[in-house]
Amino acid sequence: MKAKRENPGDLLQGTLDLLILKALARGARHGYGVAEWIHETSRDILRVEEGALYPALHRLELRGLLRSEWGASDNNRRAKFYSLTVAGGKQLGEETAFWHRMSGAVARILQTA
Amino acid sequence: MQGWRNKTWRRAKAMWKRPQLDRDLHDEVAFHLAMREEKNRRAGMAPEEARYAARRQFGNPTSLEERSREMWTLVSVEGLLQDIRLGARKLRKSPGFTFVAVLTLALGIGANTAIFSLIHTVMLKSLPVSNPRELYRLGAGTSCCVLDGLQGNFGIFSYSLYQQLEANTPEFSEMAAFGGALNFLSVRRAGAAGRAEPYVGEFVSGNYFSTFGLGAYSGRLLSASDDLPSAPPVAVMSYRAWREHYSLDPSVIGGSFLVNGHPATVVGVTPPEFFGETLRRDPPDFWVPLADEPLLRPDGSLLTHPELHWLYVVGRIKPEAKPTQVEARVTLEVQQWLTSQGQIPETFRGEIAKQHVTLSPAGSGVARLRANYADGLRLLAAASGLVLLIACANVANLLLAQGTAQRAQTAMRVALGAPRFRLIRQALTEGLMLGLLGGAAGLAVAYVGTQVILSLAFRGAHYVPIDTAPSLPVVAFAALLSVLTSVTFAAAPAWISSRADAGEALRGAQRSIHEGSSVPQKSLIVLQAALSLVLLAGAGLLTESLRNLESQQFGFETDGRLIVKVDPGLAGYTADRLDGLYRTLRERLGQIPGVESVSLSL
Repeated sequence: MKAKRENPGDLLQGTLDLLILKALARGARHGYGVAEWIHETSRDILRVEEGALYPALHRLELRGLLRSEWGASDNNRRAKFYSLTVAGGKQLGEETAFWHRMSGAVARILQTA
Repeated sequence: MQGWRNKTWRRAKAMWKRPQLDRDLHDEVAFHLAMREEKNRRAGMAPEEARYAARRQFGNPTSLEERSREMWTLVSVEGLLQDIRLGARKLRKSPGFTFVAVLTLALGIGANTAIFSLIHTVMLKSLPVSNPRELYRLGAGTSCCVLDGLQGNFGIFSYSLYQQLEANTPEFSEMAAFGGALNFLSVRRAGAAGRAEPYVGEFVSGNYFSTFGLGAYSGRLLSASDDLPSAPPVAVMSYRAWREHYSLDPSVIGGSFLVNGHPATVVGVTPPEFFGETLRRDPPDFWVPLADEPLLRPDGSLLTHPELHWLYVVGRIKPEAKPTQVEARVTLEVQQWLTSQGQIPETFRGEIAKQHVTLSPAGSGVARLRANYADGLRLLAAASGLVLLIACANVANLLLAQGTAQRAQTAMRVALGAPRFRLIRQALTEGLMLGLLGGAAGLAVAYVGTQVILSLAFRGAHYVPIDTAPSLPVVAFAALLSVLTSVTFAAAPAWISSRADAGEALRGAQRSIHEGSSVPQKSLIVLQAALSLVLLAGAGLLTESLRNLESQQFGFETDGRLIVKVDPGLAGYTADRLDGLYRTLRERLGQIPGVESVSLSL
């Protein structure tokens, strides 16, 4: 997964999945909307490449964590909207807890002199 | 685990609605591009530049679609379906090639399937009885039909010896005896006006049917109480005789019949698939208890002669008994019996110790047909195997030629990025389709072939209890053989054709003149010629033998001569009346118009 930030490096595998799940926690969005939301909410630090976004969306849908529906976007264009399933919501909770645990552990290690 | 199954289910569903999936993927990408283009335009870019910038940022939409599509579909299954569709189209487009290839394979696979079908029935199939694996026959081999003296390896027994063995061998839960040869019986319905008909009959012990664990289809079968001298004469009819000669008339059961002139009751009918314990042409129509043998065969009854061996013995071994031990025990009993018999001359007494009995499994019946035809079947199996090899070489050659002709197409596919594995798989799939088509047609060939072989082998027989309809083992064999054949003839051409070099072939594809056959093609032709020569030589020799047999010199003119066999004993003629009978016969036959002369012989 590629994301541009100030310090280029690899985020943990599966972080993109977590971000997508969180993006859809508040309601259905289309793919473009998810990318924009991540970009805005991370204050321009994280930009998801389409080459990674769509495969991730499809992968999550295959796993049954998302469901999709065709609808009309704000400007009346036909777009595919993704939303969380029950399993997706549960997965979001688990992944968030895992992320906090992980990042907390890393932070603690970095704090030691 | 659960997740994997759901995932596969969703993918299968998506594959089903493939065109919809393609459209959806495309639309999703198009929407994203449009949104980005709009954003760029709002940021102030010119419309053309906005679009280019959006596309550049996006990356390659086609490869993205492809990647998503791969995720959504089961790629291997999809690929296989594509191969099958392409293969079917290719076969349809060259009907001449397809026809020749399928015909060749049909002949090859059909011949082998026919032989297998016969081998299966004659050598492998079990009797339609219960627990065939517990059945054992005392003796091996097919010694027939009335012997006296010592046999070395005892395979046929006298009635007295059978009674001795039955009484003194507790390892057998049941032991039955039946005549080694079949007899003609003249049977007529009591009170009916028609002529007596000759039927095939077998003398069996009372416990014959219970040893085989058979139940009657209608009425009842023989029991031990029928096999006593004091019991009224009875008989059991075969289902086939009941259907063919009595039209399933229910009054036959329990009906009164005249057998060889003596009254007997038909007590029941055997199950339809039972044809006796030996696979033979013209199986028994009637089973009669041993005790009635002296009655039906007054001249030359064998029952009362302890030294005449004419019965085969079959029995059911108890589960805890071991065949080798039983063998030893039976051998001992036979030797003791022989010693107690007075007729063996002194000089042969020493031979008694050499007499032994081998137990042979009787689950598939007495091996009469097997012994007679095993060699012929093996020869035919070898020949049809060679035919199949020739067919494979033929089709492989055709495929190689086809591969060469389609060089340009293959080169194009390689240039577009098709992996070699994919090309080989497609060629193999096409070969498999050819093979399965050939196998299906081969089943029809096998059906006809089996009937032809049977009618040739059993000329003159009224009925041979061999079922020629394709059974499950036969169909499975044909399918398996088709697959193996396909792999054999398609593998090498697939591998060779997939070696196309993209540039080389495209350049050369403009030329329509090929350089002639390649080395693999030539060697296949040589192989075919060699195998065909072997088959031709064999066929030629066999034909010559057949001709020699047919034109054999008997020392007299065989043209226009007929042999009439008469068995007056069946009609109750005793020896004193025979002289008059034969004189009358000679006169009457001579009076038939067209008959030049009549003579008698023994």
